[in-house]
Amino acid sequence: MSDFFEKTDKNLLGDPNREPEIPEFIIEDDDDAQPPIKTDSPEKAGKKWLRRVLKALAMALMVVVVFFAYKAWDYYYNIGVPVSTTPSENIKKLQMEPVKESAEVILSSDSILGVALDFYAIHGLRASIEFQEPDTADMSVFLYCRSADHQADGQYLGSLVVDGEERQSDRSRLGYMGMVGNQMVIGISRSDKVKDYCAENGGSFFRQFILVSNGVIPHRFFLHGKVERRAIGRKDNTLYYIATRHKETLWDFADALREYGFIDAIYITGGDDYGYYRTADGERHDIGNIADYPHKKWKGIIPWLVFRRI
Amino acid sequence: MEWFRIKTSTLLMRVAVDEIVYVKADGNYCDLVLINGRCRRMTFQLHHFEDNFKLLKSANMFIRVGRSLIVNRQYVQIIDLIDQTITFGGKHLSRELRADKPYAHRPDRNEEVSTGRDIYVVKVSRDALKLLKEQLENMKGGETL
Repeated sequence: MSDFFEKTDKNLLGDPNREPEIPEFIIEDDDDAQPPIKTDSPEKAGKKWLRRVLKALAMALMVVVVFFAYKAWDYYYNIGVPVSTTPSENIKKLQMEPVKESAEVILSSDSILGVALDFYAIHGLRASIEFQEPDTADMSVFLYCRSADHQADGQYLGSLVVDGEERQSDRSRLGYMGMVGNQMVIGISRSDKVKDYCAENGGSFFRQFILVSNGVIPHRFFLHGKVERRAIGRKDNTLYYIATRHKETLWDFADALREYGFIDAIYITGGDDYGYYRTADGERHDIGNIADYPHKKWKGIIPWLVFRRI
Repeated sequence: MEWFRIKTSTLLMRVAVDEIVYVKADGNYCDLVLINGRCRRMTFQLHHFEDNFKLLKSANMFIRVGRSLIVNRQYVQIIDLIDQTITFGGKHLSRELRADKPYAHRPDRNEEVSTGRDIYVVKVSRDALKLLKEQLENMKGGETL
């Protein structure tokens, strides 16, 4: 060590013959600045543990809340497709006065992506759900079709509210149509806000499969096979009843609707069931085969979506 | 914890008293050895340290050993009268430099220098060692080595 200091002495001290100096020592004591050490009494120690337990419980509670919040978000909002109109926006629409226009259904036809489609534009009509199939002589009815599905035992699939009375509550189908007074909307949501609003205000509501939501089709469909397909779709602010002329797969049908520019569209059951529509002059035009009228099966069970003159 | 703030014409140093292992006189200077294995040559005489150690609350922590050494008794590990050495040790001392560990450090040439393991083994006269040994033997349990 002495060798080492002899070597470093010059570096450290400069002149080795330098006289020693008189240093100034100042003693600092951390304890002077610190508060006296506290020793916990048994009571305080108990409270300390209680605080720790409460903290742990709060953390656990927070984790549980976050978990359920995520599950709720995933269930209600993460539905696999974007949504164009929220339930709250649709409720506002239902509260507005409808645009005054003459009652009529305008038919147009087109073929897109190899799918031949008939579009029935709905103007100046109000919608309701009825269990009696409209009479062909009823001049107030401008269009009617099926709405919600039902099982063989008559139990409805998806929510169904008729004139304020809830017949079924089931969120498994995310597309919906709500109607109150002279207003009607379609939308995509798992939320029951619109259904509740319709029920509270004496309106009607049903749920069906999504075909198009905000211009996007779902990544998969659960119905397969080729049959005639029906839908209710919204393009801008006009609702359309849409029917295929030929048998189509659900995917082809939905893709054609998307391609045609529908923002939202929901499936309508019924296939090639008979229905009719009226033009502005009140003349009736058949949709499907008149020989199938009236329906003999499921009388009083089928919820008919009926569009009448306001 | 107590601290020394040491001022000279060219130096201002703040050192925790607990971290001083020993101070060894070397002519007009003294070498301050710390638990991290660093040694600092101070440009004043040893008695300045001795005077100020006496002012500490923990004054009895430091013991004068002969004319040229003041040791912190909490780091005294071995007093060897045959070899006439004091070996410093303890868990707080730089692990690499402890006498019971293999030689690990080479001294560098910084102003504040690291040194070899010999820094914790100091040669002392036999008489001074005897006195230190007796002092430590007479201390109460818990105060000694």
